[in-house]
Amino acid sequence: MKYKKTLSITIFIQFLTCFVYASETELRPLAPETPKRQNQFYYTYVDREHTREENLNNIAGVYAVTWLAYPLTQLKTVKENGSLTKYRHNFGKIVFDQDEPFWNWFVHPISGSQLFLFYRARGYSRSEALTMSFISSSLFEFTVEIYTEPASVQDLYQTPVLGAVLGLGIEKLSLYLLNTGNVIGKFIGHAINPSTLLWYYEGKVRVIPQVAPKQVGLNVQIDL
Amino acid sequence: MYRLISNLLIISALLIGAHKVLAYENDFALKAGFIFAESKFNKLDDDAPEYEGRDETKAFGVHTSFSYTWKRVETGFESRLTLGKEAQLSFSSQGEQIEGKGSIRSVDITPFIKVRSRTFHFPETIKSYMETINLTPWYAYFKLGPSWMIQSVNLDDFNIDQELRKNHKISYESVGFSMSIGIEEDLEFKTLHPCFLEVSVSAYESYKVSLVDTSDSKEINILTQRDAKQDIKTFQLMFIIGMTFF
Repeated sequence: MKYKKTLSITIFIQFLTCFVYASETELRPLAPETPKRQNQFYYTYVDREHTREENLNNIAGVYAVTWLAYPLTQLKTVKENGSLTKYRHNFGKIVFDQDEPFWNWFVHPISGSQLFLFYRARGYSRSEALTMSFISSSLFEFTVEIYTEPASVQDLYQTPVLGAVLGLGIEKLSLYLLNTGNVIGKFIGHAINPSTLLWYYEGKVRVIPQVAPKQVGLNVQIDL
Repeated sequence: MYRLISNLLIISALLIGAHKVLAYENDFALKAGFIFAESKFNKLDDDAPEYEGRDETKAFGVHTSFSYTWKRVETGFESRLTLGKEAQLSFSSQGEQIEGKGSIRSVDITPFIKVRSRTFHFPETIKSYMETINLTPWYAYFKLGPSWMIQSVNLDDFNIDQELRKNHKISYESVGFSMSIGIEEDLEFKTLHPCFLEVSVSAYESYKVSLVDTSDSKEINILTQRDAKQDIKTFQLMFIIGMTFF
């Protein structure tokens, strides 16, 4: 009873905090600009429109990678449990898998987050990146993984959706770290978001300071 | 908890008679939040004496949904992952009573359709009294859909088929129905991350049970699988707090 009362009060307070403004203090004059490292590149995400051909190429590219990556990363499972008979039997079948939380709540969301970040790096908006991840992971579940096991309901949903939630967090953290400009920050930023290091990443902006008499500016260059 | 639900119902009823819809439309939205859940097992419509006095299990978890929004209607998929607190569990399997200390994990997938009310704006007089509080417009909603769930019962050790089992789990696959009411901030852009509060009730009936050897987490071994119609009936009450991510 006491537990329920405490919980109700906590939820009510949580509810009230939704209404409170983020900052209620008066704005003070801006502090003098703090010194920052000179960065050659600024890391960001540039959302843009894609043609149907680009969409198909991206999906086909990821699909080809999954055909290579699955046997390479799950060699034992593919050898012991995989067969063409199983492929035919599992085709079109959908089940709840019995995997442990380590796989469903950790490994799949991590792979989903990297898929989401791949599409983000290719210039897709967050919603589009999630939709493309959903298509790619469904293709993997229904046509690649069935070589060893049937498509799983949890994986179909959680890989793209939990992956996108995790991917959003990784995206924000990696951009912050990459733009700090220090070596450790850049190393960790690239390690958690490897797409930022690869050729297809479209958000790497070259920043060239331009100084002329009585004029100071920045030349920003984006490669698309 | 039930008083809180009744209060939320009153707020929702007030919101339904309010102004026009403001929120973003014709767009996808990913939402996520935290769950507090209470579940009852075998209590759905069961008044057999052996089930009386059984404790409810409490659980915490994560809610996610991916949906498409029109003006007043939203449709998509949602999933709720819950991890139950350790409790004394008791249920039947193949007519055999299984008891032990353990926890229940559950995952459900629910395709849903959600209908919004009109927007409720706080009157200017109230706003002027509460200058430091951000009184944004809200709307109420009603959501429903069929639901599929898998529950994994992890008991420390238990007897089944006259055998003491360790490092095993029993998984029930169930089908049922989920219904929710809630309130959500009605903001023009989803980039403002509207938040929501929701109360959801779901009822399930099992259709398949599996006994799984979990001694090797990489290689799951399903020992037996059979139909389990009505072996376990679940009633879940969930309180969800969340926000739109993008």
